[in-house]
Formats: sequence, structure tokens, C-alpha cells
Amino acid sequence: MFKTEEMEINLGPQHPSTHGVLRVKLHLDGETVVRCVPMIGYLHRGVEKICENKTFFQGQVWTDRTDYVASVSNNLGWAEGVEKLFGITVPRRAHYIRTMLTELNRITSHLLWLGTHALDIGAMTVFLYAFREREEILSIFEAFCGARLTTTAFRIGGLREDIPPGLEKQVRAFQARFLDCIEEYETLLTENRIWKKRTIGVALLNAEDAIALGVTGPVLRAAGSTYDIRKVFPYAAYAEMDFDVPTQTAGDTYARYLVRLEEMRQAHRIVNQCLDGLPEGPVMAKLPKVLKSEVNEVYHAIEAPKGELGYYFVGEKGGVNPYRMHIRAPSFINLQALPKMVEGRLLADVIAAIGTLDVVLGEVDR
Amino acid sequence: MAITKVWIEEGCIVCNACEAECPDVFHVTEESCHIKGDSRKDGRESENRDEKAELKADLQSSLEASIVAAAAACPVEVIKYDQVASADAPGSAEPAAAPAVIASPAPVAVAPEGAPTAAPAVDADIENAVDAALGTTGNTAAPVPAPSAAPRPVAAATPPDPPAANPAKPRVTKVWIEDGCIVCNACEADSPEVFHVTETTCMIKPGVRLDGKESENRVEKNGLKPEDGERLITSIITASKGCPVDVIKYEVLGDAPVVEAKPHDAAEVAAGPFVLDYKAAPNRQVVMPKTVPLPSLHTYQEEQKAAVAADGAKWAKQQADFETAKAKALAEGKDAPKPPVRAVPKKNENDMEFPAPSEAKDPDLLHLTDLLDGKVSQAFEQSGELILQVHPDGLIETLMFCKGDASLRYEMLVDQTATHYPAAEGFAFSVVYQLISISRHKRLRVRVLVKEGQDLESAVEIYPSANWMEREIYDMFGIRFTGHPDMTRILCPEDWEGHPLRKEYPTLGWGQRDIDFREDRSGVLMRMALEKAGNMGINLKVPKAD
Amino acid sequence: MTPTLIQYLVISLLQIVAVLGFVMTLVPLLTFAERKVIGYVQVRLGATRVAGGLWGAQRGRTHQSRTITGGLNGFMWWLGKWPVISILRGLPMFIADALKLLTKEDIVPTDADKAVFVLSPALAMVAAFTVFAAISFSPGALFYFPAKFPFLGGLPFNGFLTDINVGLLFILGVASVGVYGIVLGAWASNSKYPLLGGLRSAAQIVSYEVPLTLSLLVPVVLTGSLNFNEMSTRMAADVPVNGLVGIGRSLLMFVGFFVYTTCGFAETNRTPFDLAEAENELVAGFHTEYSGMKFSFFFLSEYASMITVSALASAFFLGGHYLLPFGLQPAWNHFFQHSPYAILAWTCTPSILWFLLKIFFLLFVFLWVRATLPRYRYDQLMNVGWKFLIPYTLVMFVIAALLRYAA
Repeated sequence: MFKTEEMEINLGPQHPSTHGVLRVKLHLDGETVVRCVPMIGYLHRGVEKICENKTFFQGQVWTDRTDYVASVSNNLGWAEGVEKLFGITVPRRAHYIRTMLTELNRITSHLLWLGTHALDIGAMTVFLYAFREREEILSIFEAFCGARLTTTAFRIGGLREDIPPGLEKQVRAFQARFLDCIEEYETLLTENRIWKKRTIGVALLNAEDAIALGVTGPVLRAAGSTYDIRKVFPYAAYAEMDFDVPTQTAGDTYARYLVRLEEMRQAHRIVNQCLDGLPEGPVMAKLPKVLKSEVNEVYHAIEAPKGELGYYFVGEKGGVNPYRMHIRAPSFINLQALPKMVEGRLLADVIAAIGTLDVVLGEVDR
Repeated sequence: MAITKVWIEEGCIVCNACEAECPDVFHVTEESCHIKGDSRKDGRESENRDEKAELKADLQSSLEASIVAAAAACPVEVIKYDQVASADAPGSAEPAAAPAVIASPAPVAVAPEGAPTAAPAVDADIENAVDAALGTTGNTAAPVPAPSAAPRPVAAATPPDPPAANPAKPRVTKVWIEDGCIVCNACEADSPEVFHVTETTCMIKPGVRLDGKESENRVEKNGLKPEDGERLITSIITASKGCPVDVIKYEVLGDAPVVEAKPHDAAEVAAGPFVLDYKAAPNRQVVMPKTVPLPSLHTYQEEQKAAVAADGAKWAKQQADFETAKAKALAEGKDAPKPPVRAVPKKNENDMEFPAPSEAKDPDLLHLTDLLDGKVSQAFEQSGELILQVHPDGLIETLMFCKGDASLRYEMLVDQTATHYPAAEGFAFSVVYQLISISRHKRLRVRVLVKEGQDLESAVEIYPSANWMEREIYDMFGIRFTGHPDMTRILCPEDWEGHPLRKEYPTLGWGQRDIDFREDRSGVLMRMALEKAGNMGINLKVPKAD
Repeated sequence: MTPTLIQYLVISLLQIVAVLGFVMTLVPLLTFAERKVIGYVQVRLGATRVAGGLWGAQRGRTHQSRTITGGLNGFMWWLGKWPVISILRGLPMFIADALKLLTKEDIVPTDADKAVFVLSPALAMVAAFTVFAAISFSPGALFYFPAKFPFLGGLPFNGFLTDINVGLLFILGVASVGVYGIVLGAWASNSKYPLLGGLRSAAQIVSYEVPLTLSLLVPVVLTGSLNFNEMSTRMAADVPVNGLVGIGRSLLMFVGFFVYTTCGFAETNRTPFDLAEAENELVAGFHTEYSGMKFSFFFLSEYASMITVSALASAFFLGGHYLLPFGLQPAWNHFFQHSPYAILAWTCTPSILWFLLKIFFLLFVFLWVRATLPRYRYDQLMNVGWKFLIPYTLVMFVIAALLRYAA
């Protein structure tokens, strides 16, 4: 007489909390998720194909547009990947400035994550607080390279310019108050009962599954692994920096929240060290006017805010363009874990899981 | 022969090639390349593009060879020069005066035998001059009165041009088809001897062309056979007038007859489809790679060996040349020439050193080579990375060893991607697997070479993270993975045609709209085309029969 | 003097106009207040500073008075100079919002059940506003018409429409009709997100109706009345404040107030229980397909029911028309009833002022909570309702009965 049937519902591609154009096809039994299929590609622009037809410098411009909330990290990955392909040695001062900007960028990325994730769960206020601080860092980027979001901050072989006068003061002013700001976010969330109820035990992913699914970054470290490329395969100036890799063992949304907050504090520490220990010297390596590659292939990975960001280059002899360029996008691989996290749970947890994975669709689709 | 003027057009990529060939004249700066002040009459140093100052008289002939070589070496061909036959150079087959060169529309490449080396610069110049003289730059709907022009010389392959017996008789010299053909068959109906409409575009038939090829003739603009040009002039002009999108262009020698566009009715013309089909869009900008940049220790070592051998051979030849020259000089009683100096490799002043591949020394690579007896093609290290190339049969075994072996423990497959090598023999793709060992802090790259159409075994069973990456490879390259749970496209739509990251996939053309939407936002151009076709009785809206 | 029938009808009409006017003014002002309060909490720049249009700001002050928006801009900046009325900054945003709601295209989806789709916002609205018929804003007459007033001279103008002796029952009964508006609207939209939102809403409101009513029964049992005026009067005067019974009564009401407020938040679909319209999960919940005036009907009814809930809390827990909440008024009266200072003596009498102040404070709490707390998950909400609040209110009810017996 009565029959029940599963409801198929499309979360996205136009939805307030899919952070872009992610479409998740959900089969719901009531509000319980029976099956979850992420469908991507709505933002596919063929960055890899485009970069095959751009020179090594021009391609960097496209990396800004993959993970557009962490463009400096992308620039660093590209620049260091190309440097590895050519065997370029970068001056130490350039390494320090790059590290500083990348860590500031990590803070902006995590702030954006914090704001939107809290907003998804219903806490509106943190969103605006986080954006307040993010604005300051974006102003720092603007002072450094003239752009706030699509920075193209670095050059192959170092930096185009040294840091402008006054930038150090600006960064120090931000550094002076940022720790208090983190305290402010924590006041609103960390011990909030509803926040804990919504996040503890939600979107669980243990270390074993995370490693099997290729998940990296804060999501992996919240499950107990200490894999951080900055420590394991140090690049830029990270070998000379003193910082901790925050980990948690629970592997749930709350653990990821704690890990990312602590990462912001560690980034704050690294920025301070970069400012204090900034060496003198040139910021650009001596290079020929036109970079022509030899036959070589490299894979260079950095620890982007979302996880392992890898650039794979194949160079041909005498080529001014990469013969093949591939981006190992952390968001793309991390998104694979979504079905594992949410199947059998409630609709509201899907939102929390998408938020806690911290995916940027520009990077997923490339 | 001498070169009077040298200048550099726009587009220099500061590649230093010219300076290497001819350091007396060219000086490559940060932004551009200059003609040195020392070599110029006015003594200024610049690109010499606008002023085109002359070279110093004493250098005009002495540097000729090196300037020609520099111009030939320029990869973007921006070095141009004026070459004249000097008065004291007898025996030149080239017409003596420059105006004569301009009057002759013949490309220098097909000039009569015996002419000295002609550079493309001269070629381009002459063509421009011819176009200017004939008033036929591209859009040649207007007839071209050029009775005084010399008869067109033809390519060397054809029999000698019949001297225009009746020079007053007009004829079509060239016909070509611009971008934007809608394959409507109108031209073939008007002039079936010249045009041939295919599925995707319209061709000029080989029978009437001088070079005998069949193509749109757009790029080469090859001439028509003179007798055909005379005979078919009316029908070609009719076809050009009748083209609904005005893409048929031609050049006329003499007075073109006045003809009216012939009205067509639908029955006469096999009405072509007017479907915005990406395949119908001309396939632009595909540059297929000619090399196979597959990094490999074997290749590198062979190349090094060959380079050393070539260097030795060159040195030996230099020495031998010197010996003969010395013997000759001695025999003639002149001073002995200077002995050659062996070139020392240029010192690397940059902070850049190419990371050369080296033999595998890492215990992991050695261990894997032992384990996978005979299935490893090569193992080497480059840029601090470990690379293991295995046969496709041994792939799964390799991955299982990498993950399961107690001394390897590569737990995570971080990345998997492919590269297309269309120029390679024996394989078409390389597929690479980037592995990391989180516990041992090591990275390893496993590489397999795949033939076109060959399937690989899926790694999902071993590394679940391969799921989406293999789907992406399938989507982008068309390599299928057997045993994959869901071998479908991931980034492109399901009905997408082609695999975008293959080298033959164009960056323009496919998938691009036929009509530039910036200019035709309201569909005006399309409506005009439809209207014009409709007036002629052609129904362009006939849907494509599938 | 007793009014004739016609006089009675005229006065009733006037009272209806007054109450409706009051509510209809308060609801838009509440949205304005929401903007401002949340704006200040969340360092939003727009809501706390916006003044006029962009044109005025771009062209500089000299041109500001030439356009309407520019003139408004100048006026707003002028307002900002003054300490108290500077609160009106940001008013243009509110005006624009209201205009937007009025002028937006009114879309009915093709596959919707049109009659129900149109009817349900009206149902929600009617239910939310009918409730005000039984709410007594002021005890007794608000004022008397002057004797020389034509036709109505000497007659009282009451601060309520009807003084029903089962006022609470009426309010609860009518207010729960409002959920039909939501559920039917969600169903009639013939769309999946509204359906989920409507189901959530139905389950939530039905679940929370129980503890809400049970918590309201505490003061009802303690005072033995369902009537608004009587309730506050008895609370202030009748029940003894001395001794254990008095303390127990105040404590019970104190706890009951929080339980009631929690349920009230859930009843009105406000954060942290705004699951029915959780925009981050269900796009906009039950009103996803609604636009224009139909949407604003839902919107208005939500704010109207916020006022209702605040009014009920004010009347039943916070002392209603008297100054002090939780039955503490008798003690206050004991000391200050015969005070020589007129102002202190006045605090012992009932007044519409206290009632409204308490409503405003509770409305502020609604906004405050919205700016602070995240949202519960659906199952957690149900757990809180059934496993925590209902047993709790039952225990309170029993204690209230015992206290009543002891008194």
C-alpha cells in the first residue's frame, strides 16, 4: 500500500555552499545519504593544454587561476618546478621572501576556509571576522606585486623585485594582532557546544583510508599522519625554519578545524622568522634571456594550504614552452574522499564534509 | 653581390642566434637585437627598422655571407636585408636593377637556376611589391588592370610559360578559399572544374593547379594553369560572386569580364548543411611535435657520445683542412695560415645547470630492478628523482612490490598522468605514477610506455586513489584502463569528442564557434548569409541528415 | 458607561487598526534592527554605514543634494554626527530591501499546485497576525476618549483587542495553524529542496509544540489563569512571595523561561534551529520557489511570530505589564508601593511600557543569538526536543503543581 523510494537530489552546481560549481548527486533516504557521487568539470578550462602553448613564464599566470584563494602557493609550485627542470639555483633572500609570502597566503586560504566552513554550519559571524584579517594580507600582496588575488608573485629564478620599503612594517603590524584574532575565532567556535556537536565525529576519515585515497594536507594530518612536505622534502627556506606540524588523531571535522587553526599559528611563526632572519643579497638568479629547456621531466610538490600541490613538467630540447605540464591538484584528489565521508550520514553532514575538505573548484577542474 | 641594408622586423625573441653567426653586425640586447653602429653608415645603433640606414661600404660585400647565414638562422625570420648585385660582380643571372626585381612577381625561390642564394626577406619584399603594384592584396573582387605587367613566371616544375600570345586576353592567375566556407556546394555548381566541395570544406581541384595538389589553396596561393585560367575565368568569377559567404577570392590578369551571379535553385545545388558543427570549422593551429622528449638515460648517453664524436670529427676535419691549406700555401709560397684552435666549451656563467640523468644508485631502484627481473626497461636518477621504467605487462607487479615490499613501502599514489608522444615510434604515450613513501620519506616515479589503442591495467585495486586520476587520463588522452570500476569521462562532458591533451587536438578550431560571437552577437552575419543564400534559392537551413 | 453596539464596533475597529499598525510597523523595523545589530556584531560595513547611493559618494559632497540618492546620502552622513539618532544610518538599505520585496517579479513555478501555492503564504501570514487579537499590550484601558470627542466621548480605548479568558489557548491554537502554511507551501512548490525544508519544519514545529506548551503551563498552574491581564496581575499581587514556596516559584519560572525561549526559537525557525530554511543545506528551505510578495508574506509571518513568542514570554515569565520578572514583583511592591517618591510608586503599577521593553529585549536576544550560534543538525534538534526538553518540562510541570498545592 505504501512504498518508499530514494530521492535523487542535486547539490549544486548552483548551491550556496558548494563553494563554486561542484555538483554532488545525492541519493537520499529521508535525509540520510545513501549514495553520493561528486560530478565535476564545470570549471574545466584546460589549463594544462593552455600552458603547453605558453612559455615557462607565461604559464605561471595560469596557475593563479587554478586555486585562486592560494595563488601564491601555486606560483611557488610552478616557479620551483621550472627551476628544478632547468637546474636553477635561487638566491637565499628570494627563498626567504617566497616563504614569507607563501605562509601569508596559507593564512588567507585557511581564513577563507574557516569563514565559509563556519558559515555552512550556520555560524555567520566568523565569516566576516576572517575576511577582515584576510583583507589585510591581501593588501600586503597588493603592496608586493600589485595584485590581490591573481598575484603571479614570483619569477623563474627568484623575484622580479625586492620587497618594497614599508612592506616589512605592514607585515609586522599584521603579525602583531593576528594571534589575538585567532583567539577571537576560537572564542566563538572551539568550545561552542553546537559547533562541537556539528563537527565532532562528522565526516570521519581515518589515516589508512586517507592514505589509500591519496588525501593530503590538513585532512591527512587530522587523521594522525605527520606527512608535511615542508618537513619531509623541504623546499624554499623551510629547512631553515623552526615550526611544528600540528596533528590530531580523531580524523573528523573538528580535528581538521583544530589542525588548520594551529597551522595558522605556525604560519604566523614562520613569517616572523622570515622577517627576522631575512638575509641580504640579490633576489634573482643569473639566467639567460631566453630559457630553453633540455629533455627532462620533473615532478615538484609543495605543501599548499589544501595539500600536496605537484607540478609535473616535461621539457623538450630547445623548447621555450613545457612539452607537457600537469598539475597534481590537492582539491581534486581530496574530493575523491567525499563519498567515503558522507555515505550513510545526514544531508547536513554533506555540507560539513564539503566545507572541511576545503576544495576550490578552480583547482578541482583546472 | 652585396648587402646594402640590414634591418630587423618586429618579433625578435632575443635568441642570440644572429650574434653567433655575425657578431660584426648584430648585437643582441636584453629586449631586442640591434644593428651595430660600427657597421652602419650613420653610426647609430638600433634595430634600424624605420631608418633602414645603409651598411658601411667596405662591409657590404665582406659580411654578405655571414648576414645571409644570420638571416637564415633566425628562428622567427625577422632579419631582413636588401641584396643587390654589385657592379663588379659579373655573371649574375639576376636582373641587374632592383626595379626589374620588383616588376617580376616571381618568388625568388623559383627564380631561374643560377641565381645566387635568395633569402626569404627578398621573397617577402617582392611579393609585397607585386601586390602593391597589381593592387591585389587579398580582397580581389575588383578586376586588376595590369596590362604592362610582365607575364607571370611559373614554378620550375611546369613547362616553360607560353609567351602570352594574346596578352589582351584576361585570365585568372590564382584562386583560393578564405576561412568561413559553409560547404554549400554553390561554387561546385557554378564551376565544377575548379571547385570540389567536401564534407568539411571546399577545395581547388588538382587538375587546374600548377602544383597539382588538392587543398583550399589558402596558404600557398598556388597559381592556376594558364590555359585553364583563361578558359574558366567566367565560371570562377560567377562562383566567387555566387558564394553566399564571400570566401572565394581570385586574382585576375587583364580585364575581368563582367558576369552576374547565377541564380540557383535548391534542386540544382545539393544544399549543404548549415549546422554550427565544430568539425566543419577549419582546423587551425595544430603544430605536431617532431621530437620525442622522453627523458632517458640511454638516449642521453647516446647523445653525449654522438656529441663527443661529432666534436672530434669536426676537430679532425679542421685539422685536416688546416693541413691541406698549409700544404697549398707552402706550394704557392705564401705564408702558412694560422693553425686552428680547438673550441673550448663556453663557460656557464648562469646559476643554471642542466640536471643530467645518472645511473641508478638508489637502493630502492636497484632492489626493484632485482625483484622485477627483466621487466624493467631502465632505471635512472635525474633532478634528484628516481625513475623506473617498466614494461606495461609488469606494471601491476611493480606497483604491488612498491606498496607491499617491506623494504619499499610506497604507501601512497600521489599522482598519475600521461604524456602524448605522437612522433615516437613503438609507443604513443608515457604514463607516469608518482609514488611516495610516507614512512620512509622517499619518492619514486614509475613510467610505462603505451601504444596507441593499448589498454593498461588499472591500479585502483592497489591504490584506490588512482580512481579519478585514471578517469582523467582516459578523458584527456583516451587511454583505457582495464579493471577500473567506472571508466567514464570526468572533466569533459560525456558526449565530448576527442581527447583534449593529445597533441593533435587543436587549441583553435574544434569546439570553437564558427562565427566570432563578439562580432556576431546578434546573429547579424549569420542572418545575412542566410538571406543571401535564400535570394539565390539555396536553403541553408536544411538540417544535417545523420 | 456601556457603549452601544455601533460605538463598540467603531472602537474595536480603531483598536484593530492600532494593533495591526503597531505590529506592521514593528516587523519592518525588526528587519532593520536585525541588519543593524548583526551589522555591529559582525563588523559589517554596509549595514552600519550605508547612506544613499553610489553616485553621491562618487561625485563628492557638492553634488550630493542633486539626486535623490545623493540627497539621502548627505542626510545620512548628517545623521551620523548625532549620538542617538545616528542609529538610523543604514536606513536606505532597509528601504531598498522593502522596495525590492514589493516590486520583485512574482513567479509561480509551472509544475506547482497553483491554488495551494498562492494560498499558503496567506495562511502563514493570517495565522501569525490573528494571534495578536488575544495579546494584551496594556492592562485595561490605554486611554479614554475626551468627553467632547464626537460619538465616542468618554469611552475607553483598550490596549488589547479582546480580553479572552482562555487567551493562551487561543494563541497556541491559532499559532500552530501557521505551520500548515509552511508545509503546504513547501509541498505545492513541487521541488525537492522545499519539500525537505517543509518536512523538517513540520517535524520540528510539531515536536517543539509539546515542550513549548508544557513550559507555558508552569506559570499557568502557578497562577491559575489563562488570561494575559489576570496572569500578570496575579503574579504581581496574589501569590505570596514569602517563604520557600515563593523562592521555589521564582526559581521554577526562571528555569522555565529559558526552556520556553529555546522552544520559542525552534517554533519561529530561528537560529540555531533554522533548519527549515537552512540556506547552506536546502538553498532556502521551504520558500526556495517563492519570490516577491509571497516570499515577503513568509518573511513577515516569521517576524510576527517572533513578536508573538516574545510577547508570550514577556507576559507569562517576565511579569507582563509589571516591572520585575519571575514573580519578584510582590517583593518590590512590598517595599515601594507606598514610597513617597512618585516614580518609585509608579514602578509598582502595571504599564504598557514594561511590556514593550521586555518584548524589545527578547527580540534583541533573537538577533543576538542569530549572530553568535551555529545551526543544529536535524537529528540533534530532534534529540534536544524529545529527549531533553519534554522530560524536563514534565518535571517542571509536576513541581509547579506541587508548589500550587503547597500554596
